[in-house]
Amino acid sequence: MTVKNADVYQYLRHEKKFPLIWCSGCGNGIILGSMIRAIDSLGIAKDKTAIVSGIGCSGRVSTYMDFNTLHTTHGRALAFATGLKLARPELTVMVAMGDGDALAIGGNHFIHAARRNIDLTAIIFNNSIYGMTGGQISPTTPRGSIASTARMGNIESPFDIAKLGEAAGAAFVARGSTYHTDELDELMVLALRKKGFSVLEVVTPCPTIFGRYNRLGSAVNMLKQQRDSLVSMHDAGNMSAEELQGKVSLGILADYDKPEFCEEYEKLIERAHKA
Amino acid sequence: MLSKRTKVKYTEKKKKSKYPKVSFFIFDKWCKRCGICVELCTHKVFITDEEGYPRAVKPIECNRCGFCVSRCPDFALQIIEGRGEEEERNRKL
Repeated sequence: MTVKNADVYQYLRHEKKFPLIWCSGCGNGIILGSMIRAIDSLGIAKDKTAIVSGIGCSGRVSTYMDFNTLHTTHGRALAFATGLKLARPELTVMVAMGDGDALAIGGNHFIHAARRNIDLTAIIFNNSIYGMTGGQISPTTPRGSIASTARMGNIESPFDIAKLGEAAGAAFVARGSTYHTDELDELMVLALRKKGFSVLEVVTPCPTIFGRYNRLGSAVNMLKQQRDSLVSMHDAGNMSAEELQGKVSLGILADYDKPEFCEEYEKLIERAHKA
Repeated sequence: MLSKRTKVKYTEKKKKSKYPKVSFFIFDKWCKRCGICVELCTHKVFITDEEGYPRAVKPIECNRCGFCVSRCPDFALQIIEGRGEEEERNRKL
């Protein structure tokens, strides 16, 4: 093992902003650590990285990270990031969004950023609920779960973020979880390396709101449920079809080579100069 | 740099570890007592003290998988190879 978080602190604004505002056992901090480890392992300079976040629990990510950061309006993180990437194509842009932020309020921005295939890394913190505003149902709340706006159980079907991203045209689609942190680090690195729009859905527990409404127990129990209900990409090959039934697979779900928007735009400028 | 820190020294001297020595630093000011490191450690390195904070009582059992560090949501846990005295001294400055 390497000492994993020895270098993490140089990428955090820990002197001013710590301790984290998130609840006890919230998985957002685990994803924040994974994002930092991925950037650190790729050796990208602080000045060449930009973190864009929307509104919600996940929106606090840009406050804690010591990079170029942009805290934007609700759902519009991808729209701001698109403008940023086009103005400064040399930057590595990571967009941190919650599930409601990315798919409900910013749903249109999400599918069109994927269709455009612009070189962004969208990390979607999927905690199945609107945590910050008090537990309303979000587009990824599973059918039958209880929320503050669905006291008798949710009657709607949830979005499958990976399938939505793939169908909309994203170049790289993957799913990770806060229990499988080593795999999450790998996926984060692959998503950052990919030239094109990469979507990384991270399943994260919300013990305070979602866990309490649905009686899922403590944060530890919610992580153990992730262990039992999700299958990591390294284990999936060794398991039979019966064992895999009813489980959600992690890992790379789609990987395509498609023309990237910034490169195409450069070509267009060259063509226009020649004409 | 980091304001409050705790180091629990290992007292069982008879047993020898097959892994190199590590030291654990737990920042109580940042820890939210979620219990993830205590419960998910496969080698039972940590226990919970009476206030609910984790304490590394058996660092000699640690196989250095690093999951307690990467799964800590509050960056409140740090593992340092060796006895960690130098790091502690540097941090006091």
